Amino acid sequence: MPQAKEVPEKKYPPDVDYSTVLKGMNRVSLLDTTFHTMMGILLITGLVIDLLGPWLGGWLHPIREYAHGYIGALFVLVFAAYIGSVLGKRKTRTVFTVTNYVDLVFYIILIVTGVTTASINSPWIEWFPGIANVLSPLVVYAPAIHVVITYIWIAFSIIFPGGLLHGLASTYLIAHLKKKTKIVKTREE
Amino acid sequence: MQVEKFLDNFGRSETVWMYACSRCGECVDVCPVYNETADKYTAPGFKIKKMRGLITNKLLPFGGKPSVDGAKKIAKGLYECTLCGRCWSVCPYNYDLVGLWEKCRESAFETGLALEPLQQMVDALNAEKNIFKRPHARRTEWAKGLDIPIKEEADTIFFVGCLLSYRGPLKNAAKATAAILNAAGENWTILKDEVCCGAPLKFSGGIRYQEQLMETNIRAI
Ligand code: HEM
Ligand code: SF4
Ligand code: SF4
Repeated sequence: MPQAKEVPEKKYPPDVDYSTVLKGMNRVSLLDTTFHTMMGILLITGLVIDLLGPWLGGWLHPIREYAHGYIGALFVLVFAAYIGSVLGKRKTRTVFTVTNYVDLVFYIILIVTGVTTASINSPWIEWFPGIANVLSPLVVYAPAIHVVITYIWIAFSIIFPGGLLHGLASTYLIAHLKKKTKIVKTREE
Repeated sequence: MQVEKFLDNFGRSETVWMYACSRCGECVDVCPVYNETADKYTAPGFKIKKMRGLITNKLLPFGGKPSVDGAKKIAKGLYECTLCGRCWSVCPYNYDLVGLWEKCRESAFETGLALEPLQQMVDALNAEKNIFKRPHARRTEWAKGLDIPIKEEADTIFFVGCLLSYRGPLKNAAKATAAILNAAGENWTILKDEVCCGAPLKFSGGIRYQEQLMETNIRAI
């Protein structure tokens, strides 16, 4: 009679955790990961400025200017590449919903009002003489629109299954719903 | 048809997954069926998008009733899938998409959205315990005149299956296997009362009927 031999246990399906998903995101699109990371930083720092501003003391300025302002400026470039890649591909157009497209509109509004707000005290505004004229009428309202739109976006994208609900669901799924691991044992003759 | 109950069998994992899917579209590009048909309803990510709509409607207190037409289109797409698993292999979340498709088919089957031939298969299995509706008594006919053991006890059981038992040209594969086992001097047997393993039911959503067949085979072993 042939001898039953133990073979190494195989995990099926493979483990899923934050690092495997992050690796997966990077494999699919580095641009996508960059976009998500920057968006997350902007959201968190934006909310910190708005909600914790009075308590931040000396930290308010660096958070506002560097963490939010400069990353925001970089985000404009990343977003331009991102929206091009998303709208330019059949695969993403197939899976995108109306909510996802509305999310993109929210980003555009945040970018325009953010850049306008930042333009007040940015030296580069001097380099483009025309742009100051375009932006100046907006400057008064831009900060308010920027903040209000942020909260509307948060509400919208949770109520309708948009970007933020997707983020929350992903976090929950990865943390709580670890796949049950079936052990596959085979007998090798 | 009970369209409003379609996808009611979703648990927490499947429901949360509807919203977690990152809409990256990787699965869409690799699906061999979608690439062949160009019908969006066969694209894995598109099916998830449409099912998310149904699930959201169920969760919202003011959500409307699902349209029969829409549910039928989703179900048709679900049945055109080959369960090849390419979508799963590229998904950045590594989410068990094949398990998801099977779960959805089960619901489609239970709510009357499955394709018609499936009911014929279930009827065949109920009546004759094989997918071809050929007489159960003739399952071992291929073994006639050959040296095929049917014993109470053996080291190895050769589970023949519906295809090899009933399908003309494929019977040769069963015969060849028997010849190899004999030549190797194995202490082997076929089952006295083998029935379909039920895999076609698992793939097609008729899981409810699979258990009984499995029981019969396990008892026979
Ligand atoms: C996802 C994207 C973004 C979100 C969620 C967001 C959110 C916010 C929030 C909540 C504030 C708080 C304002 C306050 O209470 O004072 C803020 C301020 C600010 N944001 Fe953004 N923002 C985003 C993108 C951008 C971009 C792309 C820029 C462009 C450079 C930008 C530039 C600014 C500036 C300069 C301020 C300071 C405004 C002030 O203090 O009056 N933001 N942002
Ligand atoms: S398992 Fe189905 S949906 Fe996924 S790639 Fe294969 S045929 Fe397409
Ligand atoms: S590959 Fe996965 S995350 Fe990406 S769209 Fe398909 S199912 Fe969703």
